[in-house]
Amino acid sequence: MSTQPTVNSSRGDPLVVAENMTVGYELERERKLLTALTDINLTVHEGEFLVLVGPSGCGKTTFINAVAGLLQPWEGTITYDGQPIKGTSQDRSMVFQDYAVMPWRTVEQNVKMPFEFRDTGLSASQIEDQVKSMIGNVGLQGFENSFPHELSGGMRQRVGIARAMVTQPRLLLADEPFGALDAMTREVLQAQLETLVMDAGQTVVFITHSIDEAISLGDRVAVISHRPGTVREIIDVDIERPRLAEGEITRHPEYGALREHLWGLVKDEALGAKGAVV
Amino acid sequence: MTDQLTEHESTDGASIASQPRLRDANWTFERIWRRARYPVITLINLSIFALLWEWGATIYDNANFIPTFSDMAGAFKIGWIGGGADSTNETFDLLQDFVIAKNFWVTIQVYGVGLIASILVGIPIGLVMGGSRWADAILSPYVWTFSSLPRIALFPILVLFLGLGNEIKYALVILTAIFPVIINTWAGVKTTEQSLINAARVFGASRRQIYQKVVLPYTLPFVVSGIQLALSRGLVGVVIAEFLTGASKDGGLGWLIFRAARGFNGALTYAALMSLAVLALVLVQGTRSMEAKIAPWRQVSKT
Repeated sequence: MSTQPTVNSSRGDPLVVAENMTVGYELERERKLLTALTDINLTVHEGEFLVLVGPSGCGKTTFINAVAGLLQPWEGTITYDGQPIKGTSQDRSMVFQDYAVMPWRTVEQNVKMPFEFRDTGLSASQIEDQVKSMIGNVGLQGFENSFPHELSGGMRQRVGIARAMVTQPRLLLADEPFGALDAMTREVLQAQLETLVMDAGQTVVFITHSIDEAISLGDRVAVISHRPGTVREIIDVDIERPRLAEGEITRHPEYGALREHLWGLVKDEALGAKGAVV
Repeated sequence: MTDQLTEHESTDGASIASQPRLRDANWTFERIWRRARYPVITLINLSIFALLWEWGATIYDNANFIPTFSDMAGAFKIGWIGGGADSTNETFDLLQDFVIAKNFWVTIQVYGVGLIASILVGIPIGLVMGGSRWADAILSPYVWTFSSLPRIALFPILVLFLGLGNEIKYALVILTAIFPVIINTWAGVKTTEQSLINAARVFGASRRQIYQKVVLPYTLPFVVSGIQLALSRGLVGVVIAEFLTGASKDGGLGWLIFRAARGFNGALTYAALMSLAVLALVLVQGTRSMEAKIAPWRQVSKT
């Protein structure tokens, strides 16, 4: 448990690098610019599972939107693979907090969506196969022709995960994907996501406000301070994988200490946020 | 990954039906009743209504104001399928063979043309207003003013320009029907969920693709509710126009109701009114099921 962002041996090259990045967004109704993150320095390494935790409203989503290319930094830089991020890319995919699946599309049509907007060079039948196997991977076989409103929240998010992973992106961004789910569904999906990501060897940036989720999933956990957010501390979680497929990660000897440390940090931030904004 | 049973099962009847849980049940009286009860109850309900009407009208005893149900039904039959009108008295008695059918057709034509025009013009206006801030800024004062204005107040001015023919009827239908279409379409575009748009952007959609594949499908059910509103508003428009234009012969259902009431022909007045009610009912129910088919993910419905 080091407080310095040390590079451990299994960690790959820097994939996303944010340097002194300040970014925010426009509050359309009030015609005001809101700074969400100030002076962020954060590196995402190839192959790692990086979790961002912080109080609600601290700008975690803004960071992930900047990585996705949905927002441009106001100051500083953010690069992907050495190139400044100017827009969205096939390399970077996203799972959304409110699923963001198209209600008028069936499961299959939703999962196929990424192929409609970008030319992946795959033939129609290859796309069919990939969509089909991805739907199987997230456990939705048999529901190909169901509409999202016919599915439970957990199943809808499975659609969201399948859609994000079907093009085999290098970087998977997940914005509190399990935040709206009940505790049991969440645990099941956490374990399945871990397996899927391990199999695909993807780099992940994952947002949560659950400390347990952060420790369960992350190779590193970055604590973001309250608005305007900045990186407060980065913690390594050196617990071997798979952590969730079998056994109980909370029994791991390091778990308790990690949790306590993280909670101390997050609690400060949450209290600070309360005093500052409400 | 195969363990999907840990999930909640689908709320969808169809996917549950695919499981081998269904078995044949006997056709007990209770099951038959459960299927048949709504039509049966409706039939009994309407029969009671007719009987009360008949009874009440007999007691009230003024056929000019309230005819008996059977008199109304007689006028309904003559007005729709003919056979039995006193043709010797044509100039003074409106109740001729097929008179309701003829006027119904007149109304339907004006109404239909006006509605189609409202839909064809209203949807693009709503889309443009929703999609472009400039168009919104320029058009919205007019749209909101006109949609709040009691449009019948424009009638005296419209008469000057359009006279008392069909043109003014079209104008009134369009003026009453187009604004719900515009405003609902606009609202659909405006309220398209940002996360759906973000998702499309993440997966590489261009602005045009976002509009085509996210905004338009999202807006479609709004358009349908707009059309639904337009149907009932437009019907008001056409009936009022027919009240006011006063043709000498066959000026539509509104005209027929107005004239028949003025001539104290209670039976025909009520028969024409019933025809209008049936038309309105069919239209509203028809579009209600249309909405459910087009956008099953949306909860039906508001009226």
